[in-house]
Amino acid sequence: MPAAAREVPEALRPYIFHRLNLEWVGSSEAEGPCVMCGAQDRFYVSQTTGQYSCKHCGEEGNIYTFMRWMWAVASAPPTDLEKIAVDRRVSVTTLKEWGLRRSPIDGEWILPGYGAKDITNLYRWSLVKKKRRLLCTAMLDHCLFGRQFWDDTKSKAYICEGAWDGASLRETLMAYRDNAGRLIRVANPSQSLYGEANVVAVPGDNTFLDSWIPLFKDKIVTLLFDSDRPRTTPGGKVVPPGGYEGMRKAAAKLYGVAKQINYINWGPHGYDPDLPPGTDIRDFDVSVTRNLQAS
Amino acid sequence: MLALPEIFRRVEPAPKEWFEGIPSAEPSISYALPPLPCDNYGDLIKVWNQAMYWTDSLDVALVAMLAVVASTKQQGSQIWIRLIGVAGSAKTMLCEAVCANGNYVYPMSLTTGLHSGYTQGGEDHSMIPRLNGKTAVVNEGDMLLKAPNKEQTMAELRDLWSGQARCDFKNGKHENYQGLRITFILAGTNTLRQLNRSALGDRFLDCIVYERKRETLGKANQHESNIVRSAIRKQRVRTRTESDGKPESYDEPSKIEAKQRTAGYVQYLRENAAVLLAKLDQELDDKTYAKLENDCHDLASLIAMMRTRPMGSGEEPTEPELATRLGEQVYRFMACIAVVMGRSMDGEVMRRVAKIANYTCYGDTFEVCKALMDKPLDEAALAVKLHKSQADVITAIKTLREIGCIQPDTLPAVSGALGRGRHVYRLSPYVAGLLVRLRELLSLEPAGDSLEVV
Repeated sequence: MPAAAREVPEALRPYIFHRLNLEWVGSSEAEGPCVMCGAQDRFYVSQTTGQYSCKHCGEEGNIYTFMRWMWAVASAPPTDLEKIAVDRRVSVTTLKEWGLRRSPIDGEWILPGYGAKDITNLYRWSLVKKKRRLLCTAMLDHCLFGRQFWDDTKSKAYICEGAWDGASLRETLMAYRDNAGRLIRVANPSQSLYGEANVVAVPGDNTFLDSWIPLFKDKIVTLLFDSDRPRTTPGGKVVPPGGYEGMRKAAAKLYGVAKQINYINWGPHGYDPDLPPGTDIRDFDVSVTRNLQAS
Repeated sequence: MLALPEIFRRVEPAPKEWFEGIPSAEPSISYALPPLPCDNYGDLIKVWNQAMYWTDSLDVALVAMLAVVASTKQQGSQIWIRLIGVAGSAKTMLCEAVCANGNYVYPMSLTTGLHSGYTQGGEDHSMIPRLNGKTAVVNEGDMLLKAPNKEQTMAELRDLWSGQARCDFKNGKHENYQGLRITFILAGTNTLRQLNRSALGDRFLDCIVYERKRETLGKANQHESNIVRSAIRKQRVRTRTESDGKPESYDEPSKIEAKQRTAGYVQYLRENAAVLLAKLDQELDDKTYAKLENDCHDLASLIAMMRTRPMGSGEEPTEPELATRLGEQVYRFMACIAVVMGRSMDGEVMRRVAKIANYTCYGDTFEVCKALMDKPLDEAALAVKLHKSQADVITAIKTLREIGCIQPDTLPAVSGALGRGRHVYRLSPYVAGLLVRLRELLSLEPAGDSLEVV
């Protein structure tokens, strides 16, 4: 019976999420082939504690050590990265810096999420209803994308919606400085706009964990979520624009902690009716650039 | 992203109406001080040495608290500790330091119980989901004994120790929690010992932050004098500095840093405990394990006997608990202390475990047994030696006789005197052996990085 068809014990869900082939019926420990050494049926995961161990290669740990191992041995073929770079409108260097690689288990794209010191989550960039989405490892908390670059000495922080917006904004800030509204290209990131600002990204407009709040203490925070339109549910209820509501909720959490809170004002109703629904700062960049070229 | 200037042109301050109704400023204590990274116990102790007059007792207490945090998710009987000390002994400071990490530690009050009694819109407002997987720290444990719903809270705590909690809400809903992992640190004065009478006390191991020896009461005490003078010297500096009402400036920088580093070390322990404990066990050879098993067995058996309390009516026989749970707790505690200190399960770790066992055995029965280690004594002599009333000594002796720790004996009359021999009490050989082993473990030299022995 496939794993998805059975109820998966909580401790095993993170491993199943990353496509480990485990069997657990009738035992307190799930068993399967070891992805680290290739031994068959020597890899065990405790259903109570979630700790794994392989009786062949001796590797053991918990889901965090497993994810860190996965990412460390993962790789990213240059040709694949180039295609993604074009699609996501960022450079290959940026994709490498943010850690995009292919899972050593099933080849799916994985993107690490960091805590204060090390990887604490591994997102799978998978196709969901014909669109690629970053999926959080089951049972683990979301991460703030870009956390690994955080520099607490910087006074500003930009919070984007989605890892790709964050990556793109950081790339741009590192390459330019502002000269009275004109962008001047610089070679030294410390002299760029990035020299005084951190860039992070929330996984979604409705996700802002309380544990992230202390990071923004005394910072000038700017929220750059998407220009979403309001939508009507099948039951007839009108849901306010997701990006606007997300910024409002995040701002409420940061109130009293951040020194100043700014946001991107897409329009009087929380969105720009002249832009396509769901426009983000990368899309906006494309449309403005096209308009400039057309004129 | 060449449209950056266009994007920035759209950036404005957040509308004021977004913040209407939100209470301004002060974040809750768990977010007040962000943790600073720390993954080494030696570094943590250096920071505490800078912050205050650091003693071996404080060191033992901090290690015990961190060991409780590290043990939270491990299988087996949960470790709960009572942190006992007089007012001004720095137990609140230690609690605040551990509580600075809100991800893994939950500072709480027990005056309102663990369940709110209300559920609304499908949401459970009880504390249980928020506590699960964390260490609960109750700074003012004495308030539990004065709370109007004391019995209800104690019943809820007894269930919680077994990993379960049940609540029937006032709107008819029912919640049944199973498999909870919650460790507890309950801080307070000696009043907390009253919990011993409630069948809740035996869930806790005890750690004393500062204890005055009876013979020093009312006399000049050099050690206490050093602590007080050190505090006065630090206050002299603080008196010149103004606080701006923020958590970072509430106290001097060294104390703030000590709290932040402790919070960082809590983070490190919780993220790595499983791997470190497994590694510790792997490195244990059979011979060392056999010795440790013996020591844990002896300490657990001693605690079980010493904290036996007489049954209420006095008619049922008094029996010590079977030390299975205690044996599990002592072994786990020992392993977690080793992980906290970054050591193997060596003499220094055992010294600290023995200290905790020594504190946990506290009581008249323990005092009587220790007094009888040197020579057999009668009730009157015991009362004089222990500075207690004869009635208290007799009650303790009765309990100890019922559980076989002491036996009556008769010493021959003094040479040349007429009359019957003296009726005395002596320790049973088994208990004497346990106490000797405890003394041996306690007398091990403190590690070089601990300060003076109290």
